Amino acid sequence: MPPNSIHLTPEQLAIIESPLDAKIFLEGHAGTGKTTVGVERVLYLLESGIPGNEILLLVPQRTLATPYYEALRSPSTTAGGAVTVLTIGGLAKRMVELFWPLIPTEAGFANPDRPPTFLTLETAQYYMAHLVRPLLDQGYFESITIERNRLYSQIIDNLNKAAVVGFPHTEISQRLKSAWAGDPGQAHVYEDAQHCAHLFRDFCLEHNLLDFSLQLEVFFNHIWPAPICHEYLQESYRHLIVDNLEEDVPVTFDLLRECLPELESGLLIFDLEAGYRRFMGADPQTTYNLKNRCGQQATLFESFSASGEVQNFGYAIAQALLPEEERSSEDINNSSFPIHHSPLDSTRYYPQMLDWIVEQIALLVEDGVPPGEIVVLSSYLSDALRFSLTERLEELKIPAYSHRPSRSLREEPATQALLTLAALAHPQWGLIPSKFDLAYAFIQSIADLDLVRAQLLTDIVYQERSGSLSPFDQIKPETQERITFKLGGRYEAMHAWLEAYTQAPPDQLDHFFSRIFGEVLSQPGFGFHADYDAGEVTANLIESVRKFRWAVGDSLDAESIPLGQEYLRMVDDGVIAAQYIFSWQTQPEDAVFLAPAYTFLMRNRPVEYQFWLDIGSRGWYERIRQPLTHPYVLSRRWDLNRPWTDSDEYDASRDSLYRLVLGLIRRCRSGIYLGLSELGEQGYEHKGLLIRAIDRALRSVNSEQ
Amino acid sequence: MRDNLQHSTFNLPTGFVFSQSSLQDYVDCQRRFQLRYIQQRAWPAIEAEPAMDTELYMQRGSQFHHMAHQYWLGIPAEKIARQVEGDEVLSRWWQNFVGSKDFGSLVKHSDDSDEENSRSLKPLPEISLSAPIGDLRIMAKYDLLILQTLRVSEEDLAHDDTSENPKGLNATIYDWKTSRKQPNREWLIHRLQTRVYPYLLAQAGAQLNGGEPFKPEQIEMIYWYTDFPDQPARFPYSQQQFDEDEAYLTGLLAEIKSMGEEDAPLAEDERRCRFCVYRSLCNRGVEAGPLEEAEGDWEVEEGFELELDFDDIAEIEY
Ligand code: SF4
Repeated sequence: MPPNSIHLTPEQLAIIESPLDAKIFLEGHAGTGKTTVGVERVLYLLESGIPGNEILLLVPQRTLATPYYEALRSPSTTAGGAVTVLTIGGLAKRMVELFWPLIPTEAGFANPDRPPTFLTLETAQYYMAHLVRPLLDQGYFESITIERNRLYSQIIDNLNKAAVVGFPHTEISQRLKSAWAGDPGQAHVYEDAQHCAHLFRDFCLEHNLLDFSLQLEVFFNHIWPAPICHEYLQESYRHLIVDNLEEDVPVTFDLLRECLPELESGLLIFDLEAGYRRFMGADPQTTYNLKNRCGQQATLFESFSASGEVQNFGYAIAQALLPEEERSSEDINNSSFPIHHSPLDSTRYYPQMLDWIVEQIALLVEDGVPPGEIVVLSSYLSDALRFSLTERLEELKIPAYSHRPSRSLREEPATQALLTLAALAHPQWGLIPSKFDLAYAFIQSIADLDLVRAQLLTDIVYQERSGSLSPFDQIKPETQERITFKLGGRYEAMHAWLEAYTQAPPDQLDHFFSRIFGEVLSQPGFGFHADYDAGEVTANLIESVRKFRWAVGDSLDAESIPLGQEYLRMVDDGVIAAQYIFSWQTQPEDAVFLAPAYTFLMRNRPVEYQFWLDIGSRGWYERIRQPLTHPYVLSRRWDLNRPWTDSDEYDASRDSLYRLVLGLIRRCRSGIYLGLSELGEQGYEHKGLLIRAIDRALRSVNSEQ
Repeated sequence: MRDNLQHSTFNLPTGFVFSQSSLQDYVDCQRRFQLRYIQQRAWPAIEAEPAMDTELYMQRGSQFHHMAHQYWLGIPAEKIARQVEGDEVLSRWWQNFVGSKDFGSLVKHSDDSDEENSRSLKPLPEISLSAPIGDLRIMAKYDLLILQTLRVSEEDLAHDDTSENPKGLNATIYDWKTSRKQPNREWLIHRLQTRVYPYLLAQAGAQLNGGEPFKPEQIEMIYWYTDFPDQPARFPYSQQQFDEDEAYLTGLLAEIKSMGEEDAPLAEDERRCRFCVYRSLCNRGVEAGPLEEAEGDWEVEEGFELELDFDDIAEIEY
């Protein structure tokens, strides 16, 4: 019997304790305890003597495996082999890495005898920029206005879509064009995007580079069909658990369809009315077809998360979002909804709405609600919004955290100081720092140095034209005194270190960062000493440079371009170090969570109270403008030659809002607070679908009451 | 300052699983254990000089592990060798490996029908096991486990009534070592790896042995050196050693559990600090020590890498 059986319903228990050769398709809405069943099933298999190393857990995104990790790492779990937890991308990469020596010539790699280089998102973006930049000068994409980095990432996204949906990347533009019903000039944009995708793929094949799309394609087309790999997977994994199948992509469906008959047991868990990762290629309609391939089907109904009142509210909004003809005539329980909204007369402006939200959070916390049971959700969480909210909560001493740090890696002060010092230490790159940047780097690097002294020091010791520094003892004694001898001594130690460095052959950039961090900046008297945040930022920067070097170093060597120089240039261009690095395993203990609504959904953890910000905004359902790609058209279910119309757009928006709202409500136990302001964050008036649906839901109930 | 890790009652991050290397860190220096595992502080100083040689050394080590894994999956040795053509060191290691009398001639899941040897071998590369010890958990990732069944003839059995294990299933743990020097036996005996690996196999290996736990006497731990193929360091296991290890590990974990919030004591042997990234934090020196003086070898810790891949980029706008 599972250790937690006391909390399980008979329906859950029946699934968990199904025979060891059962293949089960389990469906239900969010909050009905499906993942609990998944976790307990794994533990049950282990307790029944199934070796852990024969169990594969497949999830669409690693965050979704958290409850499994927690259970598997618990001391109460049976001793034995480790369960493998993978995403489809992780599985593909692992298999390609292992079976690379058997890669057939048809795969098209120019040097199959050399090891492959796996590209990260960042290094893929770099190569794409490298190939596309010259074409932009030739007039590619000239009819659209879009930030360059978004352009590169949309071309990469097209390749990824082709790989996860399972169509040849050569068909991207054809598919996009056939669905385009607007200005005929757009066809050129799609053709340009196709040409860039070709160039990128050819370049990757030529240089043994594997971006995410190529990893998947090589796995599905060349590794998986090889008997040795097939046998390996078949022998290694006899039992499969798949959670959140609705968030997974069509090629996962293909793989599972083929594997299922060969496995001893399987549990496929499907969340109904979800499918939030559509823009990443999730295809719930396709993956749902696996239901027929399982011998046993089960559904869970009882909600463990939302209270009856919250569920009623959800049902009422969902009804209001459905097209008229699909609405149910069923009466909604007219008990009062646990809904609170900001008073419009006093929250006309956005900051007033934020004040109201923070006030309500404070009241809840005062009433004993743990901060970790509160989330503040918005359609898009801008840095400004995150900052305003965090500050307000901090003032009231309410702990809060966000889904990502407030700054990207390149914006971190420690990063900027390190990059400036790197430029200074490598005059051969010709990237001479400005006085302003250097003074800023001094403030970060030398403990206790204030702005005035940093500027004074920079003005005297720095020759901006040559990018060189002079020693402290050459400064007039009275100025030395103003700067202080203590700080002067620290400057001199750093100056001497840099001098010695420039005399020797240069290090690799990541080694330079490690060395200056360890030997200078983190030593007593310097800015990073005992500063763990600076340590973490430096580690992230080093990791980024190292991966860049491993992926790009050889190509740059061939062109005699110093890697450090190129890295710094790419940081400046926003191609590199633009990510928000955040270790997803680490979570604050008990703090209010601020996040975009979809991020909250993908954490899949219910809370007591939710605050929905700016419910008048269209951002809750409108797609981001993507002139080079299209998540619906580049899907498996879209009919070639069918145009994408305004009505398709409207239906898709409404459908995604419907799923989003239900997903949120099903992860809320006690109450929802709605933040309304007449004017949105940008000062515009909004009256989107969500606010109208809420309005309708509330009125429909009031009229029934 | 952000300190957002969830902590369990005695300060270890929730879900923390001990490994031989985290335990070794504790034994070598409690402060290092505290910084690295309890507080999870990234402190990216150079570990050993020259930095490039150290990097190459570590890359080769991990590449060799990868090649050995490929070999045990049944990929022909020549094809694997081709990947490292031009790298003298790796090619030498590979030649030593495939030419080794220990296992170089074995192939995946071979059922050797040779009557004289009369044995069947099952290689399990890169397999992880874990087990609870009290209210904590410990894990190990084995480079290679070889399960060997000695098909003892019926006649022999009839004459041998002392045999406790008529099936004769033995488990050999192989660990690849790519260090330039071979450490002395005494040093190896005291390594946590030498204690944890066989102990954990005895504790958590039942599923690999038809549901029966391995008896300590059935287990042997072998360090196999890529540059010293004829001098593997063998450590047969025994019930006595198992009992000692259990008492030792239980005591060690109890000691770790009693660690307070205050800064843990620094390493007594300051030589360790030369190869420790935290040396600037502890005021224990400036420059890293030379690679050739570093003892043992480093291995990349599972889960210590920061990886951002396509599966984790839900936040990124296209
Ligand atoms: S520098 Fe020395 S004392 Fe400090 S953590 Fe490292 S080994 Fe321990």
